[in-house]
Amino acid sequence: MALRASRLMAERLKEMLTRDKLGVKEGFVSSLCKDAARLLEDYFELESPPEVRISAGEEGGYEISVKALASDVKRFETTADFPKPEY
Amino acid sequence: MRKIVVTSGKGGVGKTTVTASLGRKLADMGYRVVMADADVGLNNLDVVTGVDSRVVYDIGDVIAGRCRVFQALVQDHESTAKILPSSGGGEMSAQAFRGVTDSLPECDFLIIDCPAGIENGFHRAVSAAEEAIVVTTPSASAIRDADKVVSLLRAYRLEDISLVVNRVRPDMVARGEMMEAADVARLLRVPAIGVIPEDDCVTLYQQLGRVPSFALSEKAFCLLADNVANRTKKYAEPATFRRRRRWR
Repeated sequence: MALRASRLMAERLKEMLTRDKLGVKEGFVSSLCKDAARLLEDYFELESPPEVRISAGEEGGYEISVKALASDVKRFETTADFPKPEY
Repeated sequence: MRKIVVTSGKGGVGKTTVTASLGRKLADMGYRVVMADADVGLNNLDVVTGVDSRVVYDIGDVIAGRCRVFQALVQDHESTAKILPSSGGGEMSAQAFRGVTDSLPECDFLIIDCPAGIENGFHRAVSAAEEAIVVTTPSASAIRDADKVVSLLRAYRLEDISLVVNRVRPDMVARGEMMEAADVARLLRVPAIGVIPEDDCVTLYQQLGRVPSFALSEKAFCLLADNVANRTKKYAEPATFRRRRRWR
């Protein structure tokens, strides 16, 4: 129980400091979610909008994790799949 | 001359105590030290160092041309350091403060005691410095304010920013009820150069203008001064500090 207090405080502060930095613009996370959804929908059949989580990294910077569930992969060809021309 | 500002953002975390103790320890090491109070209106460096009754001129008088800068310096009675007291009121621009610090007689260290907050007083103190020491306690509000101050300091392009975690309770850290200095440093992404334990001696004796050499925090302040003088980033968690028992 006692060991948890300092760890909980560290976690709480980590979130608080990240929120302080990102909280400058309220819609930051929601617009990031929408953009991530738009990108992922080009490649997958998404079951629900993706979840975006941002936290402060151990060595500075940020850790951004995007979690999304998809029912299928969208099939399409890219120019990389085309046969290379022979010279 | 190395110009170091001691700042925090939040008030009451021990900026003035750290300034006074660091300045005295550096002076004890043989360096020529001047401690300048950049807090106009709420000046307390003279009180903490115990020279308040010997102040004749202050930095306001220097700016107004009523005296030369060396006349405003007050000799500390505990060390060879000198104190440049701040005025009890009025306005002081960053340029004027910087002008005074630039005209100081030759010294090795200028330690600037920054006022709390991030307004004009903060800008005044930081713009006259080349290095910064951010003081915080292991409390959530102090760490949050320190984080904002660190972000602001990065914009000043200082040579170095270091952290001092003050008023650490080793017993609470050992029980996991208080964050370790290493955790605070990791959160703020600033290297710690000092971890000062909570010390009743500081509270008690500071009212008399001096902290005795047997105080629990003395060892920590010595290590801090050593880090500043040698530009190193070593520190010891205060759990390792133990007051020596006296056997009779």
